[in-house]
Amino acid sequence: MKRRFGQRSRHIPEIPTASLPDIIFLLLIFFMVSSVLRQNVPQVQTSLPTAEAVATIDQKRLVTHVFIGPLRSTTGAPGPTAVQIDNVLVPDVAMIRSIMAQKLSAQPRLIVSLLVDEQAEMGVVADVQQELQHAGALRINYATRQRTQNPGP
Amino acid sequence: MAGYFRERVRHTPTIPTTSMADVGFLLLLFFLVATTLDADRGIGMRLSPPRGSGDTPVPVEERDVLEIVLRADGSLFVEGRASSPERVRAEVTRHLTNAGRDSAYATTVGRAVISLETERKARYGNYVTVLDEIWMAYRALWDGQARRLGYASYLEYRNHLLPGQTDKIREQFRPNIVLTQPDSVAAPRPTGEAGGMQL
Repeated sequence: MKRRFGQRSRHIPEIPTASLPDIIFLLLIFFMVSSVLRQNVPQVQTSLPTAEAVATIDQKRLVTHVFIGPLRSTTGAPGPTAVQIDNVLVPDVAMIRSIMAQKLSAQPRLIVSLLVDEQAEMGVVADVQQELQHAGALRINYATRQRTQNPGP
Repeated sequence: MAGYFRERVRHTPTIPTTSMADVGFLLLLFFLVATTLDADRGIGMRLSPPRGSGDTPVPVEERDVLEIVLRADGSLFVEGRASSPERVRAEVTRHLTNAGRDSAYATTVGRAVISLETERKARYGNYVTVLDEIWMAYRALWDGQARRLGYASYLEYRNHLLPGQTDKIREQFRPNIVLTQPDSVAAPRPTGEAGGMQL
């Protein structure tokens, strides 16, 4: 009896690791479901303005990005202002109408998020908006960064 | 000898599962690195449908329209007076909560229109700043109304809404922001529907 008890205490307890892969897989599946792979490579520079009245779009699938800003160049100097939808530069603003009409027929609840450079001129933005209007893509979003500090009155 | 062999055959081989965690981790790390979790955020607007040739503009009284003009040089005018982005919020709030008292401001909240006119050469950053101030004025109004109904804020009120329920605060204080360009405005000013986009 005495010997038996001695043997039991000498036994080192082990943490069961069999369920570890399951935990990892669970995390993996969570990230796979909740993630969207980076799909846009911006060819134009967009330094977004900041704002306070900012809302978040929950449904990423509805969003199409339109970038407006100076073209990125290798020299570093900002190029002429250009418009980019998803991954392609739009040579003519008038083309936006047909592109958006097509997207709208695929996704009727389309939200167009405008990522416009702070320094861009409103004329270009207005032209793009007019095309969106004619295409029927009426839900838009001015992408901004959230301003955290509150400036005094 | 025979007994020894029989024992070996009965022994079932096991697949080592210790490395499964590593494989999982590798995949997990790949997805962590490759994903962008930053959601789209910004100021949401709804453009008005394009105007047909047969449409007649909705008549809007002059006093119901708060005219904000953003010039190319960044200067700002509210109802023709020189102003600054910091003062826009107070002006909009005054316009919306006027309730017919001051004859220069709106008769009721429901009829109030905020007109934001931007010159083509104006900077987008300035435009967003002014638009943000207009929105914050509306948000303050919603918050005030939510507090009157016994909620801590408008956000809390919204979170308490059931899926089918209409947002009564939003209904009552519906933002009416008209975005226009001076070049596209052909009609005389007092028609609030003038040029472009409306929420």
